[in-house]
Amino acid sequence: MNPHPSFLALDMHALGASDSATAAHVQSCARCQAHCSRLQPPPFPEWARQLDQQKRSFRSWSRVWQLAALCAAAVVVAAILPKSLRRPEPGVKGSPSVAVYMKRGAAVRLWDGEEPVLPGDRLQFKVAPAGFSRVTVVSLEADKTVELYAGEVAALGETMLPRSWTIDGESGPELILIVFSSSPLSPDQVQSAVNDLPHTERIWSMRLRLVKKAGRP
Amino acid sequence: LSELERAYRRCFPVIREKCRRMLGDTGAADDVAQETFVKLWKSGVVESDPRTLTAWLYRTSTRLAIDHLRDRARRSGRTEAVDDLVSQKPGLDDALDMRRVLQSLAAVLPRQELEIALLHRLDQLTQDEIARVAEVSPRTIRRCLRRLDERVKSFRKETMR
Repeated sequence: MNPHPSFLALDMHALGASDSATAAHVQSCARCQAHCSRLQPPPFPEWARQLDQQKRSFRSWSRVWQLAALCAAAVVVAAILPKSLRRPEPGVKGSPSVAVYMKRGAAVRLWDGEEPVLPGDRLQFKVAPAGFSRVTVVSLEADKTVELYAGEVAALGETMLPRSWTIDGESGPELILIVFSSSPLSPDQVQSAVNDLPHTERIWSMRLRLVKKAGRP
Repeated sequence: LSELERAYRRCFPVIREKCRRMLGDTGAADDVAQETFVKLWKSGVVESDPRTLTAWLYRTSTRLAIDHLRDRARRSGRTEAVDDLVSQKPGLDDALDMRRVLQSLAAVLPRQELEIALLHRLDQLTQDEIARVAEVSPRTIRRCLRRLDERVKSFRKETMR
């Protein structure tokens, strides 16, 4: 077994998101220290300098698209908000919700909550956290849970998560848990969300079950 | 420093090292690193938290490197790649040896299998890390790695003949 952290863990360490085990390992390992010390920036090249102008232009266009997308998303998310999931506490408007976008081939459409998915379909989630500031996406498997994504989101409005997931060819449904919270979740809190599906002011979770239909390799 | 230069100083070394692990210390690695950084800057992901940012960098640079590897393998032909592999003495460095094998198999490995192979064998990611980066289920990863072991084994037998 490899005694060193992965290069991903080392690079996260270098970018400032290290866990304590990686940090301790780097302190005492010459090989991993050597990797971190190689991460020195070269001189700022001309091709990179030219990107500044391009990004300004890109941003002005992206604002137009963002505005259009937000208008469209507001309609879509409002349409699929299940009434049973409305947050009961007074003073909070609505409850968190998730819209699932499914890409099959070149076509992208909103998942209706029932249509079977096919191997190769790509899923992307748009969340409306209704006041929560973090979202965690977890895949539920027979013997364990796997965190697929965790990150901050805008508490108000909708956010398209910056990841998509491909449906594999294994048999059995895909079970996904989406947990909204106001601070990072510990593994115990994630497990508790899996078991209890809490709908509280601190943690709000919902489970998606995507039936899989064999069809494509 | 401008926002762009800060992003470059912070992210480009990580991208460059990642590309060198996949492609060697070559002009191709520099090209893929440059392409990855351009995409990063245009995507806005550079402002994300380090965990999201690193996963994005790994995913994008791996997929761009795969485009390059497959293109190169198609142009050179598999036979030539195998001859090239046989002419070099593997074993001195496991990572280097595995890189040669994956480069030689790039034309015949399915994209997803090649992506998982690069992340697992060269970047030494755990299966949970690969799931996060490549956005596939751990079951798929296990299946791909099993198939990869079989392919590499049969490839090594073929090159020994």
